[in-house]
Amino acid sequence: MAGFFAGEYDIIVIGAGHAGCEAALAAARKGCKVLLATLHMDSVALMPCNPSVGGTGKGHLVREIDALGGEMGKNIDATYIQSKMLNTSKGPAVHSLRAQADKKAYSQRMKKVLESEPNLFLKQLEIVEIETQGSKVTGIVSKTGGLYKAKAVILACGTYLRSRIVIGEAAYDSGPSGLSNAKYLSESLEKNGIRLQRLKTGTPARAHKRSIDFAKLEPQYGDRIITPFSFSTKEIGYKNEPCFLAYTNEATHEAIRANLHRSPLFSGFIQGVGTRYCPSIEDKVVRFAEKPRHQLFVEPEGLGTDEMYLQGLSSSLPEDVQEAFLRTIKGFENIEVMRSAYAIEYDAIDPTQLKLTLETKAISGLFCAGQINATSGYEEAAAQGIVAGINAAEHIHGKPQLTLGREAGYIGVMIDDIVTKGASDPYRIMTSRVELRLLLRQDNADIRLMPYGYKHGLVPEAAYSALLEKEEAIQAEKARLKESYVSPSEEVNRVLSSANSAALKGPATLHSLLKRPEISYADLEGIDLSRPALDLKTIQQVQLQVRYEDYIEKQKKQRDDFLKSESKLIPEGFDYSSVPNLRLEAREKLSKQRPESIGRASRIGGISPADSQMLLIALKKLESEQSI
Amino acid sequence: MSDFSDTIAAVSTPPGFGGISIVRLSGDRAYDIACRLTGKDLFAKPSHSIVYSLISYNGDVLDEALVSIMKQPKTYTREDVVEINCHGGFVCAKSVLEAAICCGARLAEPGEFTKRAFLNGRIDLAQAEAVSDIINAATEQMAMASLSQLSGKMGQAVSGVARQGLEILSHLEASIEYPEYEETSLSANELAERLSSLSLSLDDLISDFERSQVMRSSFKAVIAGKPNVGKSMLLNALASEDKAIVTDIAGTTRDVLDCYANIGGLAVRFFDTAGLRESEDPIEKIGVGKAVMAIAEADLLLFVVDGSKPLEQDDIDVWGEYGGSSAIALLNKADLGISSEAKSFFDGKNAEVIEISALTGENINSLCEAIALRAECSEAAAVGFAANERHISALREAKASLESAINCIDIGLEADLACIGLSGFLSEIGKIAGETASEDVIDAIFEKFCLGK
Repeated sequence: MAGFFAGEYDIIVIGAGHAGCEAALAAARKGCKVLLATLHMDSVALMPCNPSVGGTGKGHLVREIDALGGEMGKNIDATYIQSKMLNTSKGPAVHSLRAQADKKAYSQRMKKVLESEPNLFLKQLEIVEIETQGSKVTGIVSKTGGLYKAKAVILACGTYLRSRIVIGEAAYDSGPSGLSNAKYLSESLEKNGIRLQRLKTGTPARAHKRSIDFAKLEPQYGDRIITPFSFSTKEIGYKNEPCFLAYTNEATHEAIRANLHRSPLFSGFIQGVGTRYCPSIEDKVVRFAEKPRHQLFVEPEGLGTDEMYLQGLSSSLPEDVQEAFLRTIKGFENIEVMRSAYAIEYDAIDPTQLKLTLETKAISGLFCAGQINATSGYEEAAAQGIVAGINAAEHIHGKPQLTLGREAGYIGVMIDDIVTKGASDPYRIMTSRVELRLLLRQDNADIRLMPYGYKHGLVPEAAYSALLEKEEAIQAEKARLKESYVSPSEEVNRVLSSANSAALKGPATLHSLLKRPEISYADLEGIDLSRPALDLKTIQQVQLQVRYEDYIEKQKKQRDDFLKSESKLIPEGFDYSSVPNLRLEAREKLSKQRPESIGRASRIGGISPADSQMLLIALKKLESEQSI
Repeated sequence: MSDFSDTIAAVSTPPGFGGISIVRLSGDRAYDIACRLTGKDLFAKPSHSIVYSLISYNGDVLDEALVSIMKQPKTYTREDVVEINCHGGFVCAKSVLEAAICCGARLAEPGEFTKRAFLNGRIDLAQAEAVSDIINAATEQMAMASLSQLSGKMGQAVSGVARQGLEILSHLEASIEYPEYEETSLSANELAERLSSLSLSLDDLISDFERSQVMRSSFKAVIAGKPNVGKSMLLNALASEDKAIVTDIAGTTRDVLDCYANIGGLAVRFFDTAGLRESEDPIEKIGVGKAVMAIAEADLLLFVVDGSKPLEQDDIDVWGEYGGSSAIALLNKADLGISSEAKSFFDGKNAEVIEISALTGENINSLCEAIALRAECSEAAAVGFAANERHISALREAKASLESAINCIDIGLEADLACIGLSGFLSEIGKIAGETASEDVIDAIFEKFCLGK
């Protein structure tokens, strides 16, 4: 119960992790007065798990956040200590950027950015209640009795809700990294009709640098030429702190197997459902018993600390067992553990209770973003954060909200997945979830999403017009290449043969030559006499769009088909019981989830193609009835 | 403007033998496809006109036909529609339909023309429920024709190919998702090898399916004769499976049993009847009554006698009542030697006579040929595709997707571009083997590889 009135805001964001920071910044930058409540003022934009940002699929998300006008890309560009473009030997769709972060620096810079935002008020508070009136959110109550009124509330509470840390036989109430948890908010959500689920995640141990024999490990460096995450970063400098590759061995596995009975995962002590994407080392040893070794990576936590993160070894075994198995690893013989690995259980909502805007269907003005939505990962959280922030602001301004579809970006795929199918274990973005990935590349995130960022007021005019110019230059150059013919002269064939490409027999366009996988734009310079001066990014786009044109076109056709069924909207409040021949199971599921379109309805688990057909016919009938 | 992006095709005349069979095309590419089949520029002709043309594909002339061309929107489906009026019988229509599919049309689902007509606003409101019922019935029919209907061996082969594709795709995806893990690495050569081995398995599967392709028909053959001459055993020999109960006690088959058998590529429905004789047993009497009715409705009577002995009065009576040129007389039990008296009974009776042994299978092939000949000339030979044509069509689509995956490796593009073709392959195979969602790929990745922080 509230004891006193503590202030009035447009929007309140609960939690200042990666989702909360993006949400608060987006809303404040859109002119809203924002309260950002954090449990721990020293833990803003905390990275309680891996010391890196990006990676496969996740790198795409960071680029997309940046294109929408978010902060994550800029923040990591300013605080990275090693950077690598992954999958460069593979096609352009799966190139993915990943940077090692200086965790402290990352957190501090983000805090400073928040503090510098005039409309944003950062406060240390534990929120215990959501206040609602009817089915509308009206504010929140802090543990100390303060009532904070707001027109919209964004829940970005991460893994703090009723969280419990488990290490071996020990279990205690705690947030990540030993920070205090949020004990009361779950109950308030349940009272408001929000369904919760219990999930589990974990993190590996951190060890002191001096205790690791790096001579026995393989160093792994990043790129020599750094690609920034943010489209706006011009200067990034050069840093290349190494990570190190190590391996478990039979002795490690034996030490784990001998103590499995003490693992809370196998004794049933942990009830939360863990993510498939971060299996603990004991899980790996049990499930892949035949493997003689598992890889692990030793990564620095920052420049100002000697803590090293042991990626690949997350565990909830007792500390003595952890210590014992770590010491069997080559290079870890004298390891000095600074923080033990732990599993953490926490409450999350069932994300099928959300609209694509990330607003809850039950309570108007209540939005959710990040791990509370049963996702995992900083990038997934931040991406939902910016969407929730934009939409909470548009909600109170009464303007159209931002919904990104599966055809628009990785953010769209992620939100559609969790909102449509739910997530029974923490959800991670993957490139293989993205049907149109040749269209949704990290290199063109600006072309794809900056228009949305501009429309919603987060991308400045200058950046947007620069984008339009770039886009125009790309199209003009592609058109020019299509009209530029070369004949099979000695000069032309010499250029081709030096690129190991077949000689020309008749005249051809430069466009058709550039389509050959072995030919680059630069290769054609000598035979392309009217070439305009273009910047590197434009050239990259031209080369890529031409080389993969056939495949891109194929995916564009897929996209058009996809959009057709997405554009068949189901009216709000549609009566599914009026649809003849719809199976009972389908009727129940559709009535519960109330999808926005036929396309989304068809992706709900258990909805058959025949059900979608019946729905389509019923809608068509409704439409013609209304037009009469 | 149509809501549909593909062009569908089907034989649209009802089952039965008419003077013509119509192959109907509807969709954006209907004209394109018809231009290819006729070699004529149909775009230049006025809409709602009829053009005479030879229909050919890949240099083979398939039929000569009248082609009706209709530009949208004034058509049944409100899409471009082309109707190719082929010669009657299923052979011409089938080959024209196949050629249309090879040119890019998709085999229409049952009721799909009507569905499009409705969804494109052509049919009025009152028909909505009816359309919904049609599709409901059609989807049930298709569900019946799904994998569970395939023989065990065929079904396993489809699942096997699906699994093979899923394994390749999940390995490829694992190598993309977790590039720094040693176990995920997959070289272009290895990938190319696995793809071409998959392609070979798929080719085998397609030819197996094509071999077992059966045309639906309503041709009915009734097996009749007096008791214990081996009628049920003949049915089994024809169906090559134990569909009917066979014993040597006279009067075992008291009802009419039926089954379909593939006779020369045509599904013929066989009825096994109770032995025809005077009986006091009331149940057997009912059986005999039903047999008589079945014979009356039959397109072909297979009159069975025990050919190892002279005919008995019962045989002669039955022949007298039902025999004639529409019957085939079967002298069964040829393995015991054929009695010359039995044989001579049919002399001058204008009947086709075949000596067979249902027990050893002797001359069953000649019998099948004789039945096929009658069926093909019959009015009951339906025009249309068997359920398994849908499987074949999906397999062919799967093959095209797989080829595009192989092609992008061949021309030196990066391996992951093959994912597009491989996913297409899986979704086509999924139409036969059950849903293949992208979640399957992710499950497969984490089942097979030990990954994650």
